[in-house]
Amino acid sequence: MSDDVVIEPADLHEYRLRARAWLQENMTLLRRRDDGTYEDPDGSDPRPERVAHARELQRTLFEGGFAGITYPAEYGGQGLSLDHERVFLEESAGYDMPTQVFAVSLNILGPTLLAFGNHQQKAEHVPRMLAGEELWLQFLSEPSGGSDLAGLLTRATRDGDTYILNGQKIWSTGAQHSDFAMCPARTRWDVPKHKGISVFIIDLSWPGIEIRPIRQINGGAEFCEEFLTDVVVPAANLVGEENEGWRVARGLLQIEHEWVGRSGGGQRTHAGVDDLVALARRRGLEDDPGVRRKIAAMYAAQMVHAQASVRVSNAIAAGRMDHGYGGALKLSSANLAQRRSELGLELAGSDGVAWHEGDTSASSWSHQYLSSRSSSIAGGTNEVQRNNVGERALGLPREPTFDRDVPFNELLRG
Amino acid sequence: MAARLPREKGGQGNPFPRTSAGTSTGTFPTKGTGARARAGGRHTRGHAVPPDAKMGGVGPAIGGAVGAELSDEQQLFLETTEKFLDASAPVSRVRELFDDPAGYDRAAWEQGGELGWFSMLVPEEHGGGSVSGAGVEDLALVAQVLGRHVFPGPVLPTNLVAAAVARAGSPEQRAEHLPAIASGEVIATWACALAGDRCSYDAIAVLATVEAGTVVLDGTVAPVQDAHVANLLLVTARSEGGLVNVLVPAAADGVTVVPLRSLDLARRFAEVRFERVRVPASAVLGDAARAADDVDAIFDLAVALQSAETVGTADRLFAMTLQYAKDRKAFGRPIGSFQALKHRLADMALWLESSRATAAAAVTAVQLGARSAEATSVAKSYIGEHAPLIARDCLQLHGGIGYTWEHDLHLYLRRIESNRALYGSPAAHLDRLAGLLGLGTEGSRPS
Repeated sequence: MSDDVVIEPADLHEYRLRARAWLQENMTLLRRRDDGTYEDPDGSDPRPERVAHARELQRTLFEGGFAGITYPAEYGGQGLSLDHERVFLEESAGYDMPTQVFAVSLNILGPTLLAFGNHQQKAEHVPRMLAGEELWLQFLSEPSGGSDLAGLLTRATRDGDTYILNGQKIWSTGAQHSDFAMCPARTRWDVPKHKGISVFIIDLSWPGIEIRPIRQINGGAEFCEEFLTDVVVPAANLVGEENEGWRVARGLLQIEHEWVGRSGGGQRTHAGVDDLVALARRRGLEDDPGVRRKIAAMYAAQMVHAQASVRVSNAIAAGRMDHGYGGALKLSSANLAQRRSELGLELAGSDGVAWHEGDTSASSWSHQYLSSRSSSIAGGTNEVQRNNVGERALGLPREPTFDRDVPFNELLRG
Repeated sequence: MAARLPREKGGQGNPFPRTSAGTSTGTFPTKGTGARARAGGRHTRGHAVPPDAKMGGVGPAIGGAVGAELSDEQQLFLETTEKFLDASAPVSRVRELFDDPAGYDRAAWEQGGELGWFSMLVPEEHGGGSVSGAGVEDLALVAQVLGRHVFPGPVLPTNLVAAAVARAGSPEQRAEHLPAIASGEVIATWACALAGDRCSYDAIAVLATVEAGTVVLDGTVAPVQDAHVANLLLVTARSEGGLVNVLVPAAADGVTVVPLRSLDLARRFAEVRFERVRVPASAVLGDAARAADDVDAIFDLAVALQSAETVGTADRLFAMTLQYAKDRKAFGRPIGSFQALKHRLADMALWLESSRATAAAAVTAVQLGARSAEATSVAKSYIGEHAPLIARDCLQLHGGIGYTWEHDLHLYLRRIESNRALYGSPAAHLDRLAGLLGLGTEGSRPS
């Protein structure tokens, strides 16, 4: 959508023009608000009609050859680079897209299945994900712990050709609308915590799965909690080897961190500061030197984050940088989202804390502010990211631990 | 009166054309494929670009510890430069030069000239050329390595003057000055107030008046890097008709160079005074109507190269500190295993990678002449804020040893803090960026 000067290789630019033409032909433009921002059809809590519509949009992308841009052609993807994907995302800004509804499916679960699933699992599910027929998510956190993922308590007991799952998961995004989950559970209790975990593909329509949305501080309910009671899972749904699931879960997290870092986690990201400039004008602050500098610094921070995302993501993809640097991008993305919403709320001043019914340009700042509190917690806290960067990317030694070589059933818990 | 640098203009073309002949591909140059890797690694002036070289790429221009998509030629060039400086300019040598009157190593300067340090922004017909054909990108590689070595000497200012003469000079000026600069014979520097912290035309206090076909300069400018050893000054002055750029021999009557003391012990600055300095009208560089554009182009180039240099310095300082955090033991374990320190090192790693990315983007923008004011102000405002944060915390993580004169850490700290204040402070660059974003009434270009 941008007429900006673009500096990119010719093949990428041709792809941009092709995507632009296809989008004009096949997708619908969003309404633009007075302050230059686009209306957000997803919100923080998509309704069932919205999810159904997003499935249709995803089908359109799939049929048009723009679904799964970086996925291998063998499983229905386009076999192109991260740069192509970025170009397509840039061009599709302003259109009604299924990107956000399918964000977790296509950026975390699909790549994890491609990396760790067997051929049959990939052939069965990946093309259906790309075509909008399957929405996926991950069941990671549990009420007893989020950051200490390997300490999970959900139990999987082998029973012939099946496993029986019992336990509770929490903070799963959009579970109420989803079809499948990737779920780590404990298959051995007499070995240290990382060595007794297995990962399963779960069909959320199976008996014994109860999903409850959790109301959040921003009023939305995109996160859910799930109760698993005697859920019967075919052994064919095991991803990777039994008791080797930590490798899969860790791989999933690396994929998630790097993607969230480079993309902001599928939320509509702000390429510019038009909304902040409009807010400063509305509040009569546009000539205040301090305000001018803060908005300019926000613009610079966004630009630098985008530049670092491209550079680091490409370097990770090419094997030139450790995956731990994905944690640095996630950290950067979380800082940026919070700083931006804090600046918005600050500039909105009293309008940001008391407004007339229906004045969305005032109310949006407190909503963004409240929503952004989750960015330093969800998908791995900032503290966990700093450990990842420090230990994996920089090679610093771990803190001494009390649980590493102790059988899980002998550990202090709770 | 001009209050600040002008707004970005579209479509003004490439301010620093790629210096090798032939295969320009317009707005979207492709990665070079046909260039021969140079076997020896030593480049001689005028032959730095193989005759069959394609245009350089648009990939990240500055590499560093984690590598980047450099061409084979650039990679080899980077390694050669690094090895040369490891051998000829170890920190012990940099320390010896603290008390040297010139403050730089003439032998290393001459060898740098053979490596092509002063020829990259000079067209081939005047003895120039660069390894990939993208001179700004190649020079940024050098700047980064110089930063890693806190290398003393006028490499940056000499190249700024070379770029200015190549860009705006008459055929006579180009023929007179460019070969002499490219060979390392002539040291040049830019006497312009924009090299200070304010990033504003208002700061320019040297006046130029025309008297009987000659130009007369009066006024003072400081700090001017390495003016004490320069043969040639590019003076940016203000005149009745606006800004004017003038080439002045440092030995001209009425020029006084007063050496300054500096925070950066490995870099020299001076105040330059002009008292009735008279030069012929032929010393004026370029078309008067475009003098401000020329100044902006040189300024953006300076900021991009400075950014690359600062990243090199911060990179070395961070690597030093990371190693220390692994080696130093306290309370029975490496101090880097404590989360209180590990988390700060993680933040520093993020700031460093972000600085690297935005410096590379600024260099590429200047190379291609595409929104370079925005890209350089984004880079400088970010790096100018974050590189000092890295430097200060690196000292803190070293504890008492980092506070000693004997430890090298302060050399890097000094370079980083010094660079923060020069070629526009972060705050000044934010003001420029706010103007480019159309914020407030001060944002438009003053008439």
